[in-house]
Amino acid sequence: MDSRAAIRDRAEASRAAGQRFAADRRWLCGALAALGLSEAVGGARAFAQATKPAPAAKPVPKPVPPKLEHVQKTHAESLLGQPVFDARRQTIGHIVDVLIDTEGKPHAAVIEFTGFLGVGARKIAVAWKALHFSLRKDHIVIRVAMDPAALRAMPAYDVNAKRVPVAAPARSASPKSPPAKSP
Amino acid sequence: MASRRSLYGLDWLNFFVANVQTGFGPFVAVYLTLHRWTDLQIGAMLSLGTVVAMASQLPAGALVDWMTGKRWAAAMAIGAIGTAATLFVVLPTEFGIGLAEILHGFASCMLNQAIAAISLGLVARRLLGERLGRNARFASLGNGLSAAVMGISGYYLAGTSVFVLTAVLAVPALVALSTIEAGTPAPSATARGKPARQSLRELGRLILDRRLLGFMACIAFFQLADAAMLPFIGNRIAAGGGHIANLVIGGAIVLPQLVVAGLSPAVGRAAERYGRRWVLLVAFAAEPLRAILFAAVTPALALMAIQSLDGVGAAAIGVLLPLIAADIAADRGHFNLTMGAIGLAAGGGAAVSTTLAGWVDQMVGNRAAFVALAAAGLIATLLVWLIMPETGPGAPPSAHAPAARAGAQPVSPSS
Repeated sequence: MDSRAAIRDRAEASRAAGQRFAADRRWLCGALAALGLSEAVGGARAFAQATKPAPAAKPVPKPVPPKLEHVQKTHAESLLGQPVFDARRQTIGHIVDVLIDTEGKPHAAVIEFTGFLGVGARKIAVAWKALHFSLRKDHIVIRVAMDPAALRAMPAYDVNAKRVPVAAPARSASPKSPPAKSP
Repeated sequence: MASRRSLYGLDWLNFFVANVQTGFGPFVAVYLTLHRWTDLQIGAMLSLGTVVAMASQLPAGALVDWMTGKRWAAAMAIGAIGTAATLFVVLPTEFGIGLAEILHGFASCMLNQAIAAISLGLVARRLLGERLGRNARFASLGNGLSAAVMGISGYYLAGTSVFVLTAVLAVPALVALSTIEAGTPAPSATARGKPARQSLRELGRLILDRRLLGFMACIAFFQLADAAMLPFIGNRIAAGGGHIANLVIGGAIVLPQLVVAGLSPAVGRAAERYGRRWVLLVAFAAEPLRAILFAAVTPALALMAIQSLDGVGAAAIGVLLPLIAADIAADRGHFNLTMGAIGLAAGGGAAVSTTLAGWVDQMVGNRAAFVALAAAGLIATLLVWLIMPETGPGAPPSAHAPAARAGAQPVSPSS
């Protein structure tokens, strides 16, 4: 009980001191040391936070400050939960995950076929290059040019599996690039 | 005796409550996906729902036993479920959905039990089987109809519409509840439920009652066989059903409900005439049969037809779970606590079911998973045959409940 009171006193003192001698760096270090002991004392926390960035900025080489840029929504849109349409513009499912390769490039999108009231929901990984993105009314529309019924019949995606079954377009894309292989 | 008005009110209460409950199921996962939840978050939320539902069974039972106004218990539960549906619409954050799942888990247990207790208070003991059959009929009609409507509206409209509909349907449920008369003398010997004084010893005897333990074991294995079958078969239809897959899955959900609606009153009457045990035996035997057929058959439409066998088991459970609880409670009191214990066993079996079937599916294959489910169903049937005593009033007085029969005459709404 006594020691806690003492710590609190010290914290109070150091806070007062900190306010008075905020400019004096040596004093500041002393105050910080005291605060290190009394971290748990609520009253001192605000002060600790206010002063913490100062020493942290010292030893580390200056990181590049972030630059703020505003991008059109059509150039940077959220992907998860987006509907995926088939060739006849029917919704076939929603994107629930994106699978990447070692370079961080998207390899496949996991599309969830909804089923009926959630029964019969299936997750199928579809090769990234099988997805077509287009713009309609300030909105990115995702389309996949494969038969939805055949797509849904593919082996389901399983997070824990060693090999990932990825559905890739059979004919149309093969001249340009080889079909996607499982890693 | 209860007025006709009250009995019709109870019909509609069952109907609308089933409506309200339909949205909270596998659809929750789809709904959260639309709100950009990741699989990990969704999985955690669904587990939370399961855990709460399991943990609530006994406390909810004890609470409903303790409350003298069973209609109030039902009203509170419906309100809570309506609130949960509203939360799904307006606050789809982790906090909102978590709260909704907790509310819904507890309230569902409570509502189930309150409706059974209200039924028990409305009809004479010998008519209870038929009454519970009617309850199950209207509940499954509600389930089937709302599954069809919600499935279609969720498909064509925003996913939100399902939960808006759910929240709105809580209102007619409350209206139906209000038409059940206040004067109805509640819970008789059975649901009076408070042998009070030496209640701890009474509880101990209840827990060790052979009929309760036997039925808990039977129903746990039944659910172990049953729970995974619809999701598994839904997945298979989805994969092989071509362009009409979703329609066929819808059929696989709605058809069994129609079977339940058709069968339930007959199940209730049969349970009164031939005894609970025989009805259980016949209905449980349909379970391994269904699983084996699933293992053997491939075409989507055939799978849908076989799934309607699910209605047989579902009708039996819907009627016999509260009926057997009432039988046991006729001697021991604590009607809702008894229901809670049985519900706990059922929930345990169901929770293990999908995990078990999924594991066998991965290790061996899809057909093997159904064979495993069939084995569980067979065990459930054998358990009924071997360890489940007859609990009905017509049964020869069992050694475990010598004084029982005295309390088992038609439980007239005394006073």
